[in-house]
Amino acid sequence: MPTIDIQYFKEDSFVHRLHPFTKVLFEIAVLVIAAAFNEPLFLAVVILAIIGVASLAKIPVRKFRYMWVLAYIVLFMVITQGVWFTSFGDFGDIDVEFEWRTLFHLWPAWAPGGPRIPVILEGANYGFSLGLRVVAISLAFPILVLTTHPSDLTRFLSQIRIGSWRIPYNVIFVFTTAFRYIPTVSREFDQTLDAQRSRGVNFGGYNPIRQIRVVMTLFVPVLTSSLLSAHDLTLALETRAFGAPTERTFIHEVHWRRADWGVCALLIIIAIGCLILANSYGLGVLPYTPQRNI
Amino acid sequence: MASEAIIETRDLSYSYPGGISALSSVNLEIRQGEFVAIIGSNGSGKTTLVKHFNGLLKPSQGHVMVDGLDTRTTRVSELSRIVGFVFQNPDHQIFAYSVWEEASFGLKLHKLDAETVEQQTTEALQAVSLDELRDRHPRALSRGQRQRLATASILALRTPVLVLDEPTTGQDFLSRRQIMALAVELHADGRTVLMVTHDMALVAEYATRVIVMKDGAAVCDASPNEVFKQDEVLKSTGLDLPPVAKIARGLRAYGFSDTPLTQTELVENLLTAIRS
Repeated sequence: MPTIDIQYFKEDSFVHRLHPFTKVLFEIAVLVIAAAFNEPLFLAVVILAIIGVASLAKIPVRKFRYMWVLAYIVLFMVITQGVWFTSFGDFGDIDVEFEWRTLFHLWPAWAPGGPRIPVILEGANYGFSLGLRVVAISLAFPILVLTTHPSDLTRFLSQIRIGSWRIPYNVIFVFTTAFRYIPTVSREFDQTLDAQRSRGVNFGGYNPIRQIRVVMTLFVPVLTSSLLSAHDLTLALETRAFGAPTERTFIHEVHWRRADWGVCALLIIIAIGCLILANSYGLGVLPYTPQRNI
Repeated sequence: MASEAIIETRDLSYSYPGGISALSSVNLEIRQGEFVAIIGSNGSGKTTLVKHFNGLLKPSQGHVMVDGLDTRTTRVSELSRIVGFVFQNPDHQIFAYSVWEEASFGLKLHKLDAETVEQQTTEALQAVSLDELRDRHPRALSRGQRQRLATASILALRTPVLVLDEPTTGQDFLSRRQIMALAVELHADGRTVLMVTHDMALVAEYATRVIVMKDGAAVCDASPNEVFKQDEVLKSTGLDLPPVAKIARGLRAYGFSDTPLTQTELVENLLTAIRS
């Protein structure tokens, strides 16, 4: 079982039956809503809603196992924002009496010259919200790939027309192939990890210079075999007349159903509603959000 | 020495994440100096089983003891000094810029002095006849040579136990022969050799003990001779008898009752039968 297992799996669920466009719109709606709010509580609700959609799609929890990596991203955001937040300078209509609350000092009081480098509660909170945005988007994204058959996705992308312009099939192919190869590369990675551990490589030590060397033993085999298999793929494609100048047809047609209208309308209403809540009423927006008027 | 258990599994069960059961209460005792073949159809749990022998997988239930160490609490890097593991695909491990560097990598990790590294690496490369190509880039080698290089990188570690995971798959007759000759040599040298394979002819010719896996359980554990007598077990696992044993089976109707393992044995047995 590969570590990163983002591959279409067959299941009969409401989400699976939706048109790819509806699911793409869902991803866009998540992006918009996650960007609208920055209060952790609101983002937590968004994440819960995404988890709700995932369970509606009957996606097993183990498919999201690798998401623990995100914990590091959240932690990184919390610390960096906690330290540097106040240097943003312009916080808009912030109260004059407002004072930053110091959580603790990275350079503790008992150390010589301490205490220094305060970690600000508000900054940490803001960093936490940035981290939660990443979590929300990372959770939502696989739902499209996990519940849409790759050829449906290809079909959908090839249907997009703007005037007489269409997305070139080569581009669509690259796009869908990239998804198809995520689990393959993940499996290669796991096997390489096994092989190197078997000869005594110890992953997860504390010496950073050694760790870089150790990681090399993983990336070189994985990259070389990925490049080689990409080369094999081009040969396989050419023997099957890839790029022949004909109109492509598809066995499977994707159908737009009544439910898609409903879901799309709902998604647009929710997204616009959230934008209005956040921008006009300031709901779900931290009072000390840095102003960036560029 | 020959009777001491170097690998022992007690009630070993393993389920992959997601709940797919791959092994169910396997009890085995591998003694020092044995040449064990682990056979079974695809998905029967052979590779899952051997991956427990150097701690790559930790038992869901039960214990695996390697030279007295519990694999649950011992690091893979530590177990790698006892159990050498040669994988089926060499491309999963080759990363260095030269043959010599690749083969010596494991030794360097064990922090041995330069002289020992040089000596053991050279010996390992000689054993797989790659010593002359020591400065070559591994990618410039043929597939068979790369497989032998991967084997050498494990041989250099001089582990008392050697696990070969389908060493002959995808190899031509000559490379197969070379690999097997090497395994035999190592076995004669007193090392314990475990081989996962589909190749029944190899099993018949070289193994001293055969473990048949089926649906995650060891259904049969005996000498090759005895295993090949149990047609039904083999048939139920989707395995076929080696050609020599098959011929002997065909001769049964004519009063021929032996189960020879090699071509020479078959010929000898036939000749004695005809003469008498």
